[in-house]
Amino acid sequence: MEGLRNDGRRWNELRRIHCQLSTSSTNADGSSYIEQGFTKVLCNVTGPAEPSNRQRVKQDSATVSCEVYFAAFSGTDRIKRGRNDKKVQELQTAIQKTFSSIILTHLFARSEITISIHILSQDGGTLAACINAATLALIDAGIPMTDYVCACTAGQSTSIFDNEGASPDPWLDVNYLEESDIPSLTVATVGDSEKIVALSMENKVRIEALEAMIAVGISGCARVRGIMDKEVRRYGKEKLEAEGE
Amino acid sequence: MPPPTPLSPPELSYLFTSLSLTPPIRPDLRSASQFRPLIAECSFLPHCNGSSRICMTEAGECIVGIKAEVEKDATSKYATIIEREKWIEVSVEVAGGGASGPGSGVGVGGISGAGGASGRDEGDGGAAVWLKEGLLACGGDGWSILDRLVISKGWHWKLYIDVLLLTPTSHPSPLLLSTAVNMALDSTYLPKLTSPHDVDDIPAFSDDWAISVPLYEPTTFPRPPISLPVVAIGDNVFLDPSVAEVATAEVGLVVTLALSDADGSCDIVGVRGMEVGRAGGKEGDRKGINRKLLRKMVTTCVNEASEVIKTLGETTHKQMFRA
Repeated sequence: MEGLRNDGRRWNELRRIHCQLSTSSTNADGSSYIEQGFTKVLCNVTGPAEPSNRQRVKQDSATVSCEVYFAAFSGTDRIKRGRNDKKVQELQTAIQKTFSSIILTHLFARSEITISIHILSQDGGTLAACINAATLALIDAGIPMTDYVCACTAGQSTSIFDNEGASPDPWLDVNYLEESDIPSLTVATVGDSEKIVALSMENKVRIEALEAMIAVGISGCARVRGIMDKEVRRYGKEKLEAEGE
Repeated sequence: MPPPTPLSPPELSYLFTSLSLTPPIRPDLRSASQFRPLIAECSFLPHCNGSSRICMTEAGECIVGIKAEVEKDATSKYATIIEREKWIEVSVEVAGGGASGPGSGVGVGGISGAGGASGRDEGDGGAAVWLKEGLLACGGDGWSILDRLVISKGWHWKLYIDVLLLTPTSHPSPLLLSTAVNMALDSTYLPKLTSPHDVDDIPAFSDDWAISVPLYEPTTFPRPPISLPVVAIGDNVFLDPSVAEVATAEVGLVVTLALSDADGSCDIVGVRGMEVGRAGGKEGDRKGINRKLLRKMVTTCVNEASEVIKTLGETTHKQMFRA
């Protein structure tokens, strides 16, 4: 018997993903907005530009820096997170490391690429949404990357094994309720190559269940890539047509 | 400090001349009382009681989220005005469009007496102070926003208004901020009280959002306030000035208005001075402002802006209805 989750999805269904490119009119070089269910994230990318800080100058490649801001109104309760908040710093490091390896930084020596992310609404999968938003904003800014970086979450519904010894299906793209209830991980892949660039899990889980969770997460990433690619192509076509007139 | 501009003295001089002609020629060919286009949407954040996003081409982007929390009155007796004013908390956070982080700004809106760029309404709060002042001043006839926040005996809503500014400059237009706050307030709904009004037990609310109560009743007046920047160059008065126009202007005001009836007439809620560049005159040549010119600036605001404010309110309601 295949059950339904509390929001009516099956185990392998994603939440609604809505993404947009070039949303901001500010001086950012690229911007994007992504909604994954009720998780809403806005991303601006500036650069490659002259580094704001001497320490950030690398002679042979570009520096990727990341700033994450949690809006005070983003969660269920109003919480203000400062710059030195542990969770903020962790997200920043994770995103910065992921994109440093994917962006062709050797093309922009002695320059800086800044990714600034604003989390407007949190409903599970914050890191995944941040990574997806950053990918779209980097594409909008025209910064060369080896491929899309797509992220998705997966959770293990229960740690109790059934009689046959097989574990139940992992859940794809967990929401806030599921995330706080069951062990879950975030996985990011390069395009649809199934190669992992970022993996993060903060709970205990049985070793037998881990591989299935990662596998389900990766299949989710491939679907996210499809959705993002469709939007990038739609936006690109629209922009070209507008310029052709 | 007036807002810094990238314009050179000859450019400013050219702008000053073209803006003091009759009729004036604005750099973007708008008429003197024409506003710039903006993108506005509201109630898009599921965790907030009210939210809005305003996008303006030059001034950048502003996102406002309003959250309401149930709070017990500080004293069991009648709450004092000072205590009641703490029921609303406004905080403005400036995050640059990219490279510039928070705290890089000098002063939001360049409004006189406004200190730091980001901050809360207490003390040196900059924009947060005048946003809250306008909100509290709005009313008259004994009506106040604070009365709407009373839940029952001994309990009230605490309103957190969080403004997130994504701007290329540290001097965004006050119009951007106040429009965003206005729209968010207009789309704010509070859960309906199900327990009796006159009992001081912990209040109980209905889970049904369909019967929730709007903070500002859609058909009653006054509406939430809106602050309009206006500058004068020579005898010409310009609404919604661009950064270049502010740099050139001789005098600037921020006029806070609230719609007072269905025909679109407005009440003046507040007038504040705005820092401008005064590029026209020589350094140290501060002539002062003619009383008649000030009057002209305020009346222009009242006469020309009402339609814009009215349309904005209608847009909000249209979006709310759709949502």
